[in-house]
Amino acid sequence: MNPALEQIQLNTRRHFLRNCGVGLGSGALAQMLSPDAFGLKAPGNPLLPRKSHFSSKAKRVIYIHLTGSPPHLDLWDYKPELVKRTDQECPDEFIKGKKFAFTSGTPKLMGTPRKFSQHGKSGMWMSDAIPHLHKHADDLCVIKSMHTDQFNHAPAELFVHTGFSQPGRPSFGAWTTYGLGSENQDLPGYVVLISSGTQPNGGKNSFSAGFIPSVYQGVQCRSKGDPVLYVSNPPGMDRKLRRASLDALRDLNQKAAEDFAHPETLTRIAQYELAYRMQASVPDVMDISKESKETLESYGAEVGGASLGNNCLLARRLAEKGVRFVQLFDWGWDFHGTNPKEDIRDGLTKKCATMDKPIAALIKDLKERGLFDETLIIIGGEFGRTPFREGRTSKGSVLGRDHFPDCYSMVMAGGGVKGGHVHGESDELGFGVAKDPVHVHDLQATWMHLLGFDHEQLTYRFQGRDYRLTDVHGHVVKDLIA
Amino acid sequence: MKLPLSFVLIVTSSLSAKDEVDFNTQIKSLLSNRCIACHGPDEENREAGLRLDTFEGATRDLDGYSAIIAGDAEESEVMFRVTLDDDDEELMPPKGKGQRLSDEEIALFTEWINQGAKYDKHWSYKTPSRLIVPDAVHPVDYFIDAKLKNENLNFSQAADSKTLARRVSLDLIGLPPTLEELHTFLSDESTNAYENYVDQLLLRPEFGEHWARMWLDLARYADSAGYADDRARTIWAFRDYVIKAFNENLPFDQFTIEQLAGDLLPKPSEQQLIATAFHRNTQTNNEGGTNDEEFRNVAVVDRVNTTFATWMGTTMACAQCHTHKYDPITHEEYFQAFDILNQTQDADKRDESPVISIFSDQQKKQRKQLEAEINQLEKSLKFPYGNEELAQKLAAWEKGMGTTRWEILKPTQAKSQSGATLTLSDDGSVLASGEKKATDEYKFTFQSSLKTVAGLRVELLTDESLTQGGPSRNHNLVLNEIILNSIELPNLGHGVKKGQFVRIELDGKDRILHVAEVQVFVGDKNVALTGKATQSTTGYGGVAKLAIDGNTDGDFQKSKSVTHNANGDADAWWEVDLGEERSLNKLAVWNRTDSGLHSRLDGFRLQVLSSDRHVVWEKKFPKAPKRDLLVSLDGSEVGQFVKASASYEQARFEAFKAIDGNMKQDSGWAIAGGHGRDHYGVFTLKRPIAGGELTVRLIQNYPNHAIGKVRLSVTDELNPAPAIPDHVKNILKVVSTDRSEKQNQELMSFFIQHGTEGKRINERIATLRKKLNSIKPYSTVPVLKQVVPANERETFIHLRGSYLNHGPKVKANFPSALAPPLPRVTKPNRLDLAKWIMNKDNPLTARVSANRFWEKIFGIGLVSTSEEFGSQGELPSHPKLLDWLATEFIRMEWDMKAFIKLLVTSRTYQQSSHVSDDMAARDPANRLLARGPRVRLSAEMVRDQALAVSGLLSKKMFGPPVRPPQPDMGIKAAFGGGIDWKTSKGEDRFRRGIYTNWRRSNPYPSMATFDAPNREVCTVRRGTTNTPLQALVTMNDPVYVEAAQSLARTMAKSSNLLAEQISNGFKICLSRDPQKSELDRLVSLFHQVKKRYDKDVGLAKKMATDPIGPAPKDLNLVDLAALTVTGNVLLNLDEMMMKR
Repeated sequence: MNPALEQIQLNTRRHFLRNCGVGLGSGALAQMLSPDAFGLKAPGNPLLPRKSHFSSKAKRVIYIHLTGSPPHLDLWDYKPELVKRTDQECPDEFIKGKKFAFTSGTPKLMGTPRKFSQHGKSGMWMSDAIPHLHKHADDLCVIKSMHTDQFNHAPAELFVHTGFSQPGRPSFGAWTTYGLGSENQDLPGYVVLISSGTQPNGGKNSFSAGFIPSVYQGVQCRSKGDPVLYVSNPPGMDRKLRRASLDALRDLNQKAAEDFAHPETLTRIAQYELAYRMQASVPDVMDISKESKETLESYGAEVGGASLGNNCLLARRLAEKGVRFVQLFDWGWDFHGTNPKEDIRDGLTKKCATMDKPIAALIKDLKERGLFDETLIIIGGEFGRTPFREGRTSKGSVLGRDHFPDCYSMVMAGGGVKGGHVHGESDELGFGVAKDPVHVHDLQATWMHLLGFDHEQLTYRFQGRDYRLTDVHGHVVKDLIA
Repeated sequence: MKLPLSFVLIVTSSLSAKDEVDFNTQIKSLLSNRCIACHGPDEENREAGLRLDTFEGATRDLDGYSAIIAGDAEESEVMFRVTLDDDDEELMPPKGKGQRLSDEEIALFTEWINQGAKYDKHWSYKTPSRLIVPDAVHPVDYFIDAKLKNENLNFSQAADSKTLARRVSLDLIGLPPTLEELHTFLSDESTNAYENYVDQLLLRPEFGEHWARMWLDLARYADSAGYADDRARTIWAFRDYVIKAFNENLPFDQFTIEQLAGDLLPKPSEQQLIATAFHRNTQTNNEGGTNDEEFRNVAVVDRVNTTFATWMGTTMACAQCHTHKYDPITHEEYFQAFDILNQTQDADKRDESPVISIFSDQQKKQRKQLEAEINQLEKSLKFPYGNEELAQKLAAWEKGMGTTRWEILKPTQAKSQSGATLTLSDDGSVLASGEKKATDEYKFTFQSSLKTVAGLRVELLTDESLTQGGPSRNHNLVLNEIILNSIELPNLGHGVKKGQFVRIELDGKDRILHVAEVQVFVGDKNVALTGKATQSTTGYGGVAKLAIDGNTDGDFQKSKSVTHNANGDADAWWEVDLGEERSLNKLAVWNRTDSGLHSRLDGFRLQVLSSDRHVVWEKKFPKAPKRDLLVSLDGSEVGQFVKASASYEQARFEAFKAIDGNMKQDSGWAIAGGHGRDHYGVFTLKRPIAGGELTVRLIQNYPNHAIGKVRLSVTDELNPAPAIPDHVKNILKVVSTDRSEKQNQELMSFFIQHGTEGKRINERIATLRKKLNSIKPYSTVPVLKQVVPANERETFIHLRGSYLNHGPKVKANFPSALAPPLPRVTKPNRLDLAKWIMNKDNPLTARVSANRFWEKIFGIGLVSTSEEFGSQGELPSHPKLLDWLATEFIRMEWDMKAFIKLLVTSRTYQQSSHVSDDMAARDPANRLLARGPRVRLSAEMVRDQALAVSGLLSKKMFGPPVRPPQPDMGIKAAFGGGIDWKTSKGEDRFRRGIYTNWRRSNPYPSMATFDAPNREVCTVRRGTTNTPLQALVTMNDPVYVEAAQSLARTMAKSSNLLAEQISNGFKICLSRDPQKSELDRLVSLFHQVKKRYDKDVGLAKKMATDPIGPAPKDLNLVDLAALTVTGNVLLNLDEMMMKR
């Protein structure tokens, strides 16, 4: 955004009133004008909370992306017929004319080797890989009819997070903070936590602000070093000295504001004060050492650790503090079967143990704190995995599956989502959607709806075109909403 | 967020309704925003068959009524539909498609229809008109002032000199002036002091570094390839090209043409080729399983969009999926433009091909010398005459030619495998007759009188008894292999080694063992062929049995018949099990021959093992053979041929193929076309073997191509004269003085090929070539290269934007609604496209470019949507000024520096940027320019400035990207290496931001925080946010802390008085003296902080020295620490972040 234009938007009430029909609602924009946000005569902060198009239950999002895409057929989507036909050659009709990332020729069908059982009042089928989540069957909404356009990791991941398969567009979290601002100005509004040592496939593009102002971009918090880049004072400067220097800076800037009368100077003064508060609040929220032993144990978190368990606990702490969007990425779900860690039997049991327990703890914890109903939780990968054995590894002893975009499962919970609900069906063998297909853009439209936005109306103009998360597609799936 | 309608509406609404309504400024946006999405150019999505973007469409008869009846608003359907009640279903625009028209708008619309509903071409597609500006006034001020007067406003007072010095320095070179520069400017009392100062800045090398930045945003330049693995990409030569182009003030049209089509210019220079990397900055995707063609198409789409966004302010992206909803660009036209850019060779390849190598000037000189010498030598081989020395050598050679003494061998024994009768004549020749089988082998035993044998002559002779006189038994013969042994094998059984296993061992770690073939001879039979091969490990598909498959070809890639163990193998081995113990006569080992990798076998051990695996025989070879080696186990010697020549040889069946170890039927010496005549071949041995008893076998595996009559001779001369080809022989018959030029040349080339002189020259050429190839380019750069005409791609419309979904085929063309086509161009290529863009009649390019420079200087364009000049963009705030500037840029012949100078020498630019309360409310965005520009610095400038004022900034220009300090993230990239980098050493840590390694998936964090884009796509305008994370960067990033420490040392050394020290620091940073209250506040901060450090010198030491390093001894640590904190405040001042 051009600074001068931004200035208009921040300063001319007339502009907001005139444009209330486009972009954001007028109420929300009026809030941006909040005259005394910092006890200073500063223009609005772009991260101040704003109202959405219509009222909604979900106030924030915790999105747990399992990078690489877990084998949904071994977790959520039970296919007894596929089990019966294990080791049969895959019928031609399912593979003809299709391209798979690492499979060619005729692969063999592979039913799940795992045990499935029904749980909760809803009788939801779930595998034995996720025992802790069994207890939460009635909190979960499982979509078994997902499909996407992409079968390679990076494009598929960018697609689900930004609505477009190439880098450069704003992510869901960016759209959310752009639309809603954040409730706590002492913390970033959009926090990203990464576990298992590897970035998401799309790199920072998976949580980027694309072309919308960079203030809406995901702020990656680290488990080692400064939790947020440069949040610590340099060696040799303690908090008192920082305060002293900021006091001087404020006085000098205040004088400049008087001398030159440029409104942005006031904004800058406010941002420095905010930064100062962030220096205290960020390390504080990221410090889990004050959590009880029981809590740490329930998440499987360790002080000083960097596991998904740690990050689920941090997600709860951040949600509690009013952070709008917490994005978790956990690497290592690409179950091709190229090594024992990627085996859908023992390997999956072990990997799920690092996910199942913390997510169950997160749901329970949020419920106990009364946050569950207003927190939209999303769990899933960038696509699904094939109902057949992956071609490259079909002769080995490890069981794995290839990438599969045509039909897979995603899970949601909390914030306005129907609990104990299964939406859509895959066909007998899991090759296609049999009922109620949900495209990634539909899912995104539904997310926006759950947050109170008309996905077609939350737009940003860039290079002459109005862009939105759902590009030019997407229909809200009403059946997912409580 | 939508852009505000802002300025234009404010102006238009003040017009009286009785004035002539102007379509472009008053009606167009109204139609565009409310109607055109459904009633516009896009046929597929046009509602009710009505289009309102043209007069014809709007006034068309729609069954008895028309949307618009010119001159009669009352009867126009559109007026009826826009004035219906809110809940009426027929209300236009319908719910959700736009707001209903306000009363004011309805009045305007009515008036327009009543005035005749005059449509007009979109303003930016019309030729710019140029008003005459009075001489005495600066043209920019003339237009700005006119509008100010209209609004009852005036220019602000001029900015003071110091402010102006800093402002224009930041604008032109991206850095504030040093105190010396400031002083020079302030003490220049001439009337054109400011102009001098500007001229000096325009000549500075930093000018190009600063202005290149904005161009690199457009070019989406990055040092990585993008997508998931985001590998490093070497393309920085393009960045350097842009810097140089700005510094050398390359005219903008040339700059454009070189980047879009430098390769298509006649005899393009290296720089012009490098320029084409502009469009090689597209991302490439090499994640496993991705389709190159898909991502090649994505890249071409990006090139179309970037080209039109950069030069013509036109959003083409919309027309990629369907006809543009607002602008006159059809879906077809999009792909006509696509076709122009669809004809380059690059195809999303991992190696970024095509790339060109870039050599340093010295390397270039060296290469030129080598190439010249090679050329000379090659020429001398081809056209030896004119070279006196060579001619003399030839004459000498000719004299002694054919003097080799040959001993004709008379066989004591002659045997045909097929059972043919071999009849011996007195002259030593042997004639075949009788039994004829498809293949044959003649085996002769001789007794030679020579002590050693160094060469063998094979004469193929005619005989009446043979078909058509011979020398073949049929119509042609093929001699596949000649095998010469010094002793008849069965007679020498005592030396034979008995063994079951033959084994190759390679000691040591990480050795790579590959062999093309291992032959184990029992008598003359290779028994390895029926053995079983094993090896220590297998890698790259080089299984053990490939060495006993009968294929001796050592080219690993091509023959796929070479074994290969796995990397990292220790004590590698290969062996063949013969099944049982055999009496072995000879072993042959054929090495890998490609890529110069034969030496990997150096030091190998060859062994024969008994059935109980006891070593029977072993030999170590410090040097591995380049091709093959033969080992005798029975004491016999085997002749190893190295050179062949023949009086006649059939194409592709040359004589050397009879000694290449390959017995396949196609690998042999044949004589088709020469049947009916005598021929001979001469075969030279590598080393002489013992004379006396000899055996020779002539292998003939080509079905029905047996030899009819043959005679063999041997010589002990080390370099027997080669066989002289028939055509040469004919020349030799002619007296040397009578030979034609052609004959002389043929003779000479024969001499050069076979004589020692030719060998010497060829060796010299090989040496030079090796030297030439060893000069490694100091960089490479991907470039555009046109496909050859035969490979031109067909372009189809991509339905809904999908490259797999083909619509009709299209041919290259210009989107003609935007600008007139080039005359006489029927099939435009990229060069035509570039010329079309820069054509003086193109109404967009000059406007868009002029507007871009304006935007960079004033912070906001005359058209604020600098990326969009179509109907969805904003109208210009000063249309006449924009047109004047556009025509002026053309008149200046696209002189970029002159154009920038024009802008910064205006009074408009030189005003004070102080904002009065009145103006803050009235014109917050400063569109009217009643005050000077005030804009936040770009990410690079924020960093460069901190380094500059602290004295750390390196002046080093160009070269590979650098890696200044950044915090470690401790995680890896997906499918890639770590995302952390090793910090550059020395001054490379302090280079200007433009040289920082730009990795798309992990941009340099502090610059990204200040809105530097990732550069995945063309960025026309950067955002400028103002966030707490930015404050954290300039407060705490070690780069800025180090800058504060350095600044503190400068301050400390500048005076003995604290107030002066701080005042000096202030002035270095802001180019002005502090006011008293400012200085007082900083001094009081100093004392406050110093008190704390006095109590904790350890803390002070950290503040003063970490990370910059130990303080000079004469400076007090506590003072220095307190000054560092003061410096940190200076570097964080609002005024530092802003150009004001």
